[in-house]
Amino acid sequence: MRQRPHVHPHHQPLGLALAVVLALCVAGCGGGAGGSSTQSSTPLTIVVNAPFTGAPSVADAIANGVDLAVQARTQGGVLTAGDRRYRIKVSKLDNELSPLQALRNVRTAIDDHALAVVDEGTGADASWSVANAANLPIGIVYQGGQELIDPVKRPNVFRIAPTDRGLAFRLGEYVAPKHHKVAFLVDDTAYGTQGVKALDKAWAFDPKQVVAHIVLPSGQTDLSPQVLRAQRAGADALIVWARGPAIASVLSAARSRGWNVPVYTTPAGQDPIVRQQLADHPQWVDGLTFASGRMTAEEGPAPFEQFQQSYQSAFGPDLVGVKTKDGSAVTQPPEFAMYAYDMTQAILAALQTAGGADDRAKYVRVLGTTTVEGANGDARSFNRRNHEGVIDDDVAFSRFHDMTFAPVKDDPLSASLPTITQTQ
Amino acid sequence: MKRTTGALLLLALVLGVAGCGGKSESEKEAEAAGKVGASEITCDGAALSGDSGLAEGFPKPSGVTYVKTRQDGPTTVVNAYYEGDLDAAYSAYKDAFEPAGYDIPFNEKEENDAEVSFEKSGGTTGLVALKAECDNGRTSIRITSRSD
Repeated sequence: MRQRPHVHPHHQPLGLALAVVLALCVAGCGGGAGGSSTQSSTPLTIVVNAPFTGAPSVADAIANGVDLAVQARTQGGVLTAGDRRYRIKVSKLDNELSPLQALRNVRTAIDDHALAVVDEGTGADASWSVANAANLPIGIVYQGGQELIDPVKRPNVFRIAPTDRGLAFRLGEYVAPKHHKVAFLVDDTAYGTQGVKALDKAWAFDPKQVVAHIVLPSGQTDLSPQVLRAQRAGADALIVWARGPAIASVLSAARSRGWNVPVYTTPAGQDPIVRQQLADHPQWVDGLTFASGRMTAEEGPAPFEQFQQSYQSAFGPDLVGVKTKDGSAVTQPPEFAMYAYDMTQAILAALQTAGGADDRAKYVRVLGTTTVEGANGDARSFNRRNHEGVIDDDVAFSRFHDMTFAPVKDDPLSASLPTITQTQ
Repeated sequence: MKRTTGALLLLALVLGVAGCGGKSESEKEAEAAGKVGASEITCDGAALSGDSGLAEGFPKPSGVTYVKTRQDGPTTVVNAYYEGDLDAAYSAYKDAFEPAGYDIPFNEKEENDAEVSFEKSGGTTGLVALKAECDNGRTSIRITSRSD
């Protein structure tokens, strides 16, 4: 019943990889005078609005996911919708982790009559309204703030990524039965301030369990004073909601003083920078547990593994820059690339269903009722009441050991998930 | 010399026990994971006598028996079974939410499992996860409910 437009079941991964490589070559080399496939096609741009300098591993993964989806769904970059042919291009704009710059980028997208913005999430609170006035959809694929998505007030904003609420409640379900004195350590960015709101709601069932709320100043590399405050408050577990560098600094501060407190965090815990910063003390990473979306679906790991193989064939593996004890290079699974891929699939599917891009209002409405099968086999579905592509119950937990992570065994969902290959 | 030989024999015995009779860490983990997963499949059991912990008015289609309930931090988890197959269980829940005042933001049915998410104004959300893993004609149900 459901279609999987990006990967036909009978395609072998190598075949798909070759097709993607060929398509990338055609897209890269065939622009100017053009082959016949690009003649009489209208250019349409998908803008990637992400922190290419502030958090490059996140931004690059998002951009690669968009690229891969465009190449998988089009013929040499050309997509037919109705009686029109569109040449789909991808434009990468750096939001510099600045809401103001992110807004500028969205204005640029509007000026360019872009098809959509695939967005990390920074600045979306400010940019959604100007985008809405221009019938420009924003597809958030990283940040999970609850207020970002509202199908009624913000009909042009969609998300495929774990929500802060889902992450916080799942952390509560997992951590609260084990530890009864937790400290929240959150950074002072929008990511952290949105996160602590979600954590407070999740722990509202027993606020006394939370013995400290501690802010981690951006850019401060030595977080010993903050960690010491958590220790003195009597915390027996830390929940860190912060960007990767701050997570590494918290671990460094705790472990260097011999405090082996359990540390739980968000998807940012798998940011390669955490392991890179602690490469001299790999044992400090051991035990770090993070919540994130399940990468594989109920139907099994095969679709995700196929996606991972296609991703690596097109872009090479995302090397973390550290090695395991036995000397194997560690690679990063393409979780956030998968969300960007799925969002782009939904955008292109909506363009085709709407019959083209001439009636932008119709196209945005169609996107709001679109269902596609995601790269891992799970349905990504929007409707008038729901613009979220990842449900709260699909948040799972993984724990680091020897610079790679595996699903934990003491959570029902996580225990059912396979370990994703992370070495080469 | 005798002491050395004895120590070696003892060491060999310990290693032997560890190697033959004991379980590796990965085996123990796999076993634990199996138990955790199995505990979430419900095909039979006596009906829950007390409060399920779900909100008043939460839909309970005919044929559903609640067996266990627990509070995992902020979340209520109820294990139950449905007297019927996956298709019927899926339809029963899809049909039950709207009259009870709940929205269904997302629902999905696959060959052996199905999900119906629910939401009620005021901040209650959750999921009914259905699995066709019973060999007695029933469908396993796991309900998670979260309230802000």
